[in-house]
Amino acid sequence: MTSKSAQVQMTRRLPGDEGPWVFIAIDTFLFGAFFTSFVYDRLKDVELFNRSQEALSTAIGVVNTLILLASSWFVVLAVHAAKKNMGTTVRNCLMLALLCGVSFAVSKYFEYTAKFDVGLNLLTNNFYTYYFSLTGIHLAHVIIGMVVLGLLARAASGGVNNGRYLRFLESGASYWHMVDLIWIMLFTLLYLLR
Amino acid sequence: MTDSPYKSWRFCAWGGPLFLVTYIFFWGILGFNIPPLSPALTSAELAAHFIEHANRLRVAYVVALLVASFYLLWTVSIFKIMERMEGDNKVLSYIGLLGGGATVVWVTLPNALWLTAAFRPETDPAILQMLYDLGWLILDCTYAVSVMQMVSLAVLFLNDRREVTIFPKWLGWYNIWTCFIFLTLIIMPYFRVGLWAWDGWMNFWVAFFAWFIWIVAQSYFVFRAIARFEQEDGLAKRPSPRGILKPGIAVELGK
Repeated sequence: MTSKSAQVQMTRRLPGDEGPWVFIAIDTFLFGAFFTSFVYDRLKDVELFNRSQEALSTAIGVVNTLILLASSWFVVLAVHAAKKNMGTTVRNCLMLALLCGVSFAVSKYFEYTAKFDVGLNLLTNNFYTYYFSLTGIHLAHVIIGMVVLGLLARAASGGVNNGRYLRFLESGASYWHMVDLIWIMLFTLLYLLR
Repeated sequence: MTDSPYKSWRFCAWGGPLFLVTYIFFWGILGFNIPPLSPALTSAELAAHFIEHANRLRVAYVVALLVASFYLLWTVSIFKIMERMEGDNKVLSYIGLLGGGATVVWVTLPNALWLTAAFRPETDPAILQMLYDLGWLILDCTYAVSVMQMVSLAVLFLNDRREVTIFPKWLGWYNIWTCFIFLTLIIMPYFRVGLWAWDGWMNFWVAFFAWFIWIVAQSYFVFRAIARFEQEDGLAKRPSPRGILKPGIAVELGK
C-alpha cells in the first residue's frame, strides 16, 4: 500500500458504483445552473435581494450547516468502520447521520412555518422564490438521502466488509456528501452573500 | 430467417427516433413551442399570434397529432425487451407499457387543443388563451405517467444480474434523475415568468431536453438490445456490431 503505484491506484478509484455518479454529476450541474441563475437575477435587483435576505436567520443557517457537516462526518466514519468490518459501528454511525438528517428537516419545518406566519412565501418576490424552491428541492434530496441511510443501516446486519455492501455504502456516502455540499453553497448564496 | 420476431421489434423501435424528429419539428418548431410563448402574454397578444400564423399552426398541430403515435410503437418495442429481460413476472413490463401508452395520450391531446385555437383564431381572445393554457398545463403536469415508464425501466436495468447487462446501469440512473427533476413541474402553475414558468430555463429547457436526450439514449440501447437478443438466439445475419458485448460507460454520456 505504501508503494507509489498502489497509492495512485487507490486515489484514482471512484467510490461506489459508476451509475450513481451519473446522477450526482448531472444533479451537481443542475444546481450549478440554479446558483448561476440566482446570482444573475440578484444582480438585476441587488437591493431587493439584500433587503429580503435580512428576514433569514443566519443562526439557523449556521446550525443547519453544522448538522449536515456532522452527518457527513458520521458517514465517513461508517465507511471507515465498514472497511474494518465493524458492523455495529457502521450501523450506529449511519443512524447518527440519519438523526442529523431528521434534525435538519425538523429545523427546516420551523424555519418555513416562521416565514409563512409573517406572510413570506414562494410568491413574495424573486428572492423568496429562489429561497423556497431551492431549499425545498434540497430538502427533497435530504429526505431521499435519509431513506438511503436507513436502507444502508438495515443492510449492515448482513455483513459490511464485502464488495457489494461497500459499493452500496460508498455510493450512498457520495450522494450524502453532494447533498451537504449543495447546502453549503445554498447557505452562502441565500443567507450570507451581500 | 424471415420468421425472426426481431424484425417487428426493430420496426417498432424506429418509432422512437421518428417520433423525436417529427414531433420536435411539427410541435416544436412549426408550432412555436421551442421555446413556447410566454404565459405572461396578454390574451390580445396571444390572439394576434394565432391570427397571424393560423395556417402554419394548423399544419403544425394536425401533423403533431399524427406523429405523436410513433411513441406508441416505440413503447411496444421497449415492452418486448422488458418482457424478455423480466421473464415470467411481467409487472415492470406492464407498468412500462401502460406508462408509455398513457404518455402518447398526453403528448397528443395538447395539440388538439391548440389546433382548436388555430381553427377559429378570430374567437374571443380569453377563450383562445384558456385553450393555450390548458394545452401547456396538460403537457407539463402529466409527467407522472412517463415517470412510470422510466422508473420501471430503471428498476429493471439496475436489477439486471447478467455479467454484461442489456442496458448500461448509468441509463437507469439517468432515468431516475430525469423523473426526479420532473417533480419541479409541481411549482410551474404558480409562475408566469422566471425559471419555473412553462417557458423558463428549468421547466422548459432542462425538463424537456432531459426527456429528449432520454429518448435518444434509450433508443440507441434498444437497437443494441435487439441485436444482442438476435445474436443470442442465433438469428443474427451479421456478426455483432463491434463492442456490443463489452461492458462499460457508453459514449452517449458526453452528449
